[in-house]
Amino acid sequence: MIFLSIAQLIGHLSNQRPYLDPGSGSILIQLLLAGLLGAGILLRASWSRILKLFGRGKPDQTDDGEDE
Amino acid sequence: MGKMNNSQMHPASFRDPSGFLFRRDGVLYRQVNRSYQEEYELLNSSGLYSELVEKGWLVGHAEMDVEPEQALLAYKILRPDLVEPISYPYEWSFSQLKDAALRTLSIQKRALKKGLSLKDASAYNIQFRDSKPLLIDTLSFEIYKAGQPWVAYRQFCQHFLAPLALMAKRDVRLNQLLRVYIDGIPLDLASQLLPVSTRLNFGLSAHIHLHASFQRKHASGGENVSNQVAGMSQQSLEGLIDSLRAAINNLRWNPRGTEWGDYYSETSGHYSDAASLHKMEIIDKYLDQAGSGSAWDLGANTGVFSRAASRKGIPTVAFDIDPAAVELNYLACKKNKDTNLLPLVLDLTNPSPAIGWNNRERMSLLERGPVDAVLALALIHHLAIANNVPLSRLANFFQQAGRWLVIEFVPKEDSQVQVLLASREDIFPDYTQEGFETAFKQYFEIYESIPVRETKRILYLMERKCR
Repeated sequence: MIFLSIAQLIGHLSNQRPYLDPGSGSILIQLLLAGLLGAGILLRASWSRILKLFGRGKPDQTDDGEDE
Repeated sequence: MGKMNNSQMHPASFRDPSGFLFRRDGVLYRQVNRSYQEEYELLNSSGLYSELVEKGWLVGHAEMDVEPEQALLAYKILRPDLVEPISYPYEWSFSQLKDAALRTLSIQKRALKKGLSLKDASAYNIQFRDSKPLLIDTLSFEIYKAGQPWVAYRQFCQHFLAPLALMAKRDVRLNQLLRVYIDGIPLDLASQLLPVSTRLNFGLSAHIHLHASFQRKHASGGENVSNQVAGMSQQSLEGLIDSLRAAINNLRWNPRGTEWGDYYSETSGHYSDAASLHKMEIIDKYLDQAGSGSAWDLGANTGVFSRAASRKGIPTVAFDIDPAAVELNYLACKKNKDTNLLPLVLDLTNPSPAIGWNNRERMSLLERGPVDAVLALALIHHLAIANNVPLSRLANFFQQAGRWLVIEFVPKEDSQVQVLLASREDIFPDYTQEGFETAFKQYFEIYESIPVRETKRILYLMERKCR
């Protein structure tokens, strides 16, 4: 039900159409994960800010974790 | 410049309307279509192109002033830097596929920061240059629109996450499913094949198991969400990419305990240091005589002798049937920053076929040749005796593979051949030095033969006869 209402909410932003079908299921699961993962990032960001306040933050890493 | 008649569209370059590859007078070009102008300009003006090319993550190109292949559609013609040799994901070892996956995600994150996003995440868009994964499709980027989910998410999971999870959690040989499923392993199949315990792993549970069940549920639900932009913040999208990265980073495979991985240490009994050194000397000398520009080492194991070629600056592919040997070779390449060497998994008794649309999207092994020099060291007994291939057929195959052949004849008296014959009838009366030379002389000119010190083996240098 939730997904149907999300599906109804969306669709007004773009006229860009992908050349590969991304798949309805694959779009919808991203929306489900989006909330979870977005919240996770926020938490992590605020946590590292708090740690930095107390001088215990880790040095900034390259965000993609690749060897430079 | 006039358009020549000897132009040909690349047989694998037809899905994306943004442009295509074509070959003219032996040179590979990419036509960028007008429909892609905005994206192409942003790729340049945002600095993403130069950043990625500088890092060695994206193939570079030159804009060319040549006549377009399809003038009505054309915006620009590019000449991409040539990347060779070409390889495919079903030929990669575990870490090669893993590095290719991580590189794809890194590129996607950099792209998002510049207002672009990958519109496809095909493993076939990645090639290896000096053991480093490289995106070879300049037209893979689209303009990122706020709120948009990742259109390539499904493809990424099918091409990278699913095979890596199966290799790590079930059996490393399952990457061979990529040979059957050219658009990646279907997630419902991956979900069924993975151990139940992977449902407790957040990354695999979300991106494979749950993803597969969402696909099933919404396959024909009539919800037309696929072309629409959904409410997914950029932060959430980056979270998704990070989650995929974590899932992939957590997948590990230890290349031990397979048949060949420990070959050199275990079999030191039949190959003394002196013999090994002498063998290397002879190969070195033969390669100098042949003066090669490209080489295949067939049955390369961990690539000890492949490096005789790659160290001379010869682009060399080290093929082996054993995924553990190829994995060790690749890890060594990375560690030592080896150049000109590409380890690949290949079963010579059933080499990579031509696959895909019209049987022409992905090249067979032989279509990627011939090379200048083929090394076949400690190999022939496996093909002739363990696999019953007659010597003349072997010679015929090697003749198609390359011009020069450095081949080691391993006679029946050799301990390794004795092992192969121990449990079966010897139906190989022609498997003698004389029989070997007779068979190969049909296809090759034998220039030199040198017995390897302290062994019963002989190393030959041959050049193929004109066909």
